[in-house]
Amino acid sequence: MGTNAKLFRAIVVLGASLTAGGCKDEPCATCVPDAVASVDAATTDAPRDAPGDAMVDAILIL
Amino acid sequence: MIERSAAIDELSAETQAELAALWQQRAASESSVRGVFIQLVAELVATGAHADVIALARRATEDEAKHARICAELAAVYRGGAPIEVIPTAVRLPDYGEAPRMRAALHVVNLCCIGETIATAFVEACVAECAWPELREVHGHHLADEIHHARIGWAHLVSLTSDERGQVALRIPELLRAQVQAWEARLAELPEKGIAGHGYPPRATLIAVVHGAVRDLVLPGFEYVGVDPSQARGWFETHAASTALPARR
Repeated sequence: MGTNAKLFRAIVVLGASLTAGGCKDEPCATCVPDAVASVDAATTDAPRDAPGDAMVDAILIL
Repeated sequence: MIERSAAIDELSAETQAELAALWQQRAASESSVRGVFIQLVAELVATGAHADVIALARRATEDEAKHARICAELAAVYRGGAPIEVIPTAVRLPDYGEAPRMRAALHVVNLCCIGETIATAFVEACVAECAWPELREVHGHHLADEIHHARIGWAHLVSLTSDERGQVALRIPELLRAQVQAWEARLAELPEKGIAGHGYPPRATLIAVVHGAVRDLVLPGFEYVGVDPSQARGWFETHAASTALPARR
């Protein structure tokens, strides 16, 4: 098995298997245990409003 | 603390300084990535992501802080002095004009499905270019962490509804284009011939590695989790063919 084939299995196949048992058709209490009560709360919590942050299209490790 | 290898003393002072600067830059980048993961954790919690996805993303914030420290230590080893404190640039990803749950999904795709997945192939190529054991060990641990970070994306996509995955598919071309162009721009700043034995393969090799990761990991990954990547694949293959010659300058 080539390097990328091993990475594909380690990343995509095993990653997808982590949540594959959850509900795929409708968000529910089982697969969304930490859901907040409203979209407003989610919008407020999301740090998109953080002042002074520079917006970037992509962030890299190097 | 990382011990200075005799392999460093064999380098010219100029190359040692170059490697110190490269690792200091990577320390800053890792620190900025940590900031984006912190943003992502908040979004995932707020929009009801799967508990395992949130746990992995929280772990990633700790990993990136560790990576930043280690990169700063490596910079110090090459420079021959004490580590310089990393002052990260505070960055965030675009909101894409989407509602919070879809915005979180697009951030996961950008950062994890594409960025961190490409990063695994990049770090693996760096491991192969390490001549001293401690450097190889650093890259090896880094690779293991990047694999966990990349999994976040694929795990999250599977947990979305089929309708949400359909919406994600429409945005894949622009996200992939942004990531690929960012990688190519950064690789263009790295040493053209690489630095043999010190974790930096030649630039042309790294471009091929990044393109190979897109072709073998990212695009098939989307297919695997039910997100149609056909438009993105069309753009990528045209782009890869057109940039092949400049990348090998």
